[in-house]
Amino acid sequence: MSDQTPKLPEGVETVRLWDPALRLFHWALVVCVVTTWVLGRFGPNIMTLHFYLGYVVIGLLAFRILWGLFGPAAARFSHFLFGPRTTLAYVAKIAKREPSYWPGHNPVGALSVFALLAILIFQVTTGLFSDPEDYINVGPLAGQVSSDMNRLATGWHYRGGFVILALVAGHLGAIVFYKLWKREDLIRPMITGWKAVRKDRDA
Amino acid sequence: MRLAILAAAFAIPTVAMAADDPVSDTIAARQGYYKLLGANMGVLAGMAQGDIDYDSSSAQTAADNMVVLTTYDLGHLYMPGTSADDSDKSRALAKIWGDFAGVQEKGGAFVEAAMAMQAVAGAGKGEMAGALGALGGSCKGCHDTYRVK
Repeated sequence: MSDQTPKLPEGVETVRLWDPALRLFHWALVVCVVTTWVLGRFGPNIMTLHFYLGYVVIGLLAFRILWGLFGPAAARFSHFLFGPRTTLAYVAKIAKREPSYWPGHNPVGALSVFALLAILIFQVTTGLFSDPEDYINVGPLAGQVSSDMNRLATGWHYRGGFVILALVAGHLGAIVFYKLWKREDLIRPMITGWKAVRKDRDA
Repeated sequence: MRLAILAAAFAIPTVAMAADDPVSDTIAARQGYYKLLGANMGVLAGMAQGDIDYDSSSAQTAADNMVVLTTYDLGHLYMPGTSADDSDKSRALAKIWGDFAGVQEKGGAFVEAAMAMQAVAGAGKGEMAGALGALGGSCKGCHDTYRVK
């Protein structure tokens, strides 16, 4: 950590950006989503663990929504809700070979966060109403809707998996891009909480 | 007028043929077969989940019925030209007709699971529920691979 501090340019400081609960949420989500995705695609026909992990994801998403409303500053949705002007200005400079020093989710990363939250909410919802007609892997709320809705939910749940794969690939691609091209490590801050950020947010 | 009669004369056999459309009939019969399996599966799954009180003779009957159904020759139900590509009434993927070996393997898993269920269905709720996973899993095995998502 301290080995980076001497090289920090003017107007940049190292702060505890991500709070412990948010970091724990992030890595728990990684483990649960990856495991349940792999189980859904390649796992055993008896999908008990896929179900339980899905319920954990529901809990994690509920936490993230609460944290987005009432959590610490950087975790709040209002902190990374940007207008088109800010977003386009960020995009215009994104290819610059320098760290963003952005104090939180940057305008493009924020889109990715909202997209991931949205698709995961979609995925757990369709999962609850899915019925693959095997009598053992029936979503707990499948009985509440018509069998046509079950069928639609099952199909959407299947397709949602590809959207999640694409978004996660984009997320990882962005991390590699920031690390190799912009020379900014985004992984370490999500582990330690500490990140070099610009003091003036609007600079 | 004469034209109308002529048109009607041609129309009647067309309508009659539509009513006896062998593709739709085969699809309906095929779906009926799986509905029978499902009806018996529903009894076992309902008991395992506690929606229905476990009753050893009803459970045994459901398992026996399914084993009887495994002896049914499905050949005619998979008449060529009855896939999802041919009719919007079916969700059977066309690749079934190009991969009978694969289908048969899945079918074998189902037969095995049904026999295992038959052996324990009447022995108690726990025993029956223990065999249900493999049986339901054999349904899923085919749905995943050979059914339109």
